[in-house]
Amino acid sequence: MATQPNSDIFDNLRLELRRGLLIVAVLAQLRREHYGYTLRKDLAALGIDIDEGTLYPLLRRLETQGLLESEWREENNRQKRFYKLSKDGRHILKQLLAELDQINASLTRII
Amino acid sequence: MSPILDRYLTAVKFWLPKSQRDDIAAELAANLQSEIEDRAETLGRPLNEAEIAAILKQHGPPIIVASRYRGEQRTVSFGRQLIGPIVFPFYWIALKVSLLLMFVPRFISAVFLHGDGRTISEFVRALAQVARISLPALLVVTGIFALIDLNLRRFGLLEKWSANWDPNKLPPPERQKKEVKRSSSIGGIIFTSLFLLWWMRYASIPLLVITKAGTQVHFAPILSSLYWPILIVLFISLAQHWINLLEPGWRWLPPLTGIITTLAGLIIIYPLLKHPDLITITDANGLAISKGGSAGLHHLVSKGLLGLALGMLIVGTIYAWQLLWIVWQSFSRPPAAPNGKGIALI
Repeated sequence: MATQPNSDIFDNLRLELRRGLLIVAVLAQLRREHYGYTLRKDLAALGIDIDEGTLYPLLRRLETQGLLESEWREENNRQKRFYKLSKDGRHILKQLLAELDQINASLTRII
Repeated sequence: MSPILDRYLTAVKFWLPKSQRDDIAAELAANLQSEIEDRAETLGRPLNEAEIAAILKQHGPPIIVASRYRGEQRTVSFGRQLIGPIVFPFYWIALKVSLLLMFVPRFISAVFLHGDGRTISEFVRALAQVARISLPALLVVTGIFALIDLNLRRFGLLEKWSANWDPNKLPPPERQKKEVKRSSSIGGIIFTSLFLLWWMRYASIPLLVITKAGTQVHFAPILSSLYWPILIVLFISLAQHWINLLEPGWRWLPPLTGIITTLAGLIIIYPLLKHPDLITITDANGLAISKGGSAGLHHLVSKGLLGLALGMLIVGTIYAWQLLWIVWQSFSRPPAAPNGKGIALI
């Protein structure tokens, strides 16, 4: 049976590991209002590099789930859609951060 | 807005659901324009078209970008994933068309024949049998799309295509709006292919198995003489859809093919209109059931065929009008001015 190259296995595992964490990062960063491009830039500056093709649709999905609120507003003579955490989003983020702390603590003990 | 960005957004919009099209495109435009401005500020000069094209290439091909916004999460899995979210929308269209072709005609016949004194339980059994006959066709469709998905993943075809994709090759928005829609070509390919497959096997497959006793509805033998003409018409139609998928700018091809196929269709239908028995109904032993027992069904088929002929006449006239309009437009309008290159127009 053919085996998957190590780099492919690593890429897949890394992708799985990052998927949930990116959502936490996006929710946490949206405690302050952002529009898509500045959010991506700010996250990149903080070391979380998200591909725009992933981030922009993710924002809409999180809004559909009720975790974000958005509004169209003019900035620098251009209409932009600004997102921020909703009340439900704040509650979920709090729960996710508590879960993350717990996992981190457990991992630290294991490693 | 930069011409290349305009072309890109028009192409993305093409693949988005109508209800969200403008909203998503406006948001995407604002984000991309911010990125372009930001890059220009860093360089201290406006970006040229090639630099904007590089940003768009990094963003991805329009169909992939639109599929992410569609948020298609549906997949088909059986232990492992058989059809992924990118192929799923096309599979779903094919499945619906197959259902329409395989299930609906049999269902209508089952309902229609219910009037000849059968009990409710016999009627329910007939419907169950209709479902049993239609199921293998749906499994074949699922198998074909699972194979497509498997090859896309195994050979990394989407990644290869994304890497080679060139935003500079996107046609201008006004040309994209006039092109033959890709959804129309893809839908046409799926519909015609399924119909073609069914037609190639029609002689051996009854239109309907109606009762537990095995009553079957077949086309009358006269249709056998029309096997090749109809097959050729279907192949012409299939070729047109494939050509327009690869060359959507050939707007004259669908009406031209439409005129040819409807004319051929009318010639094919003409002898059938005079033929009293277009279908035969047999029992489980293959013996013909008297026409009196199913006069209503015969009448319905005859009327349906007449309606089809009239419909084809109307459609053929519309195609002729469309073709004349396209030819007239191409001779009466001056060619469009070429787009400027290397200029930032943000």
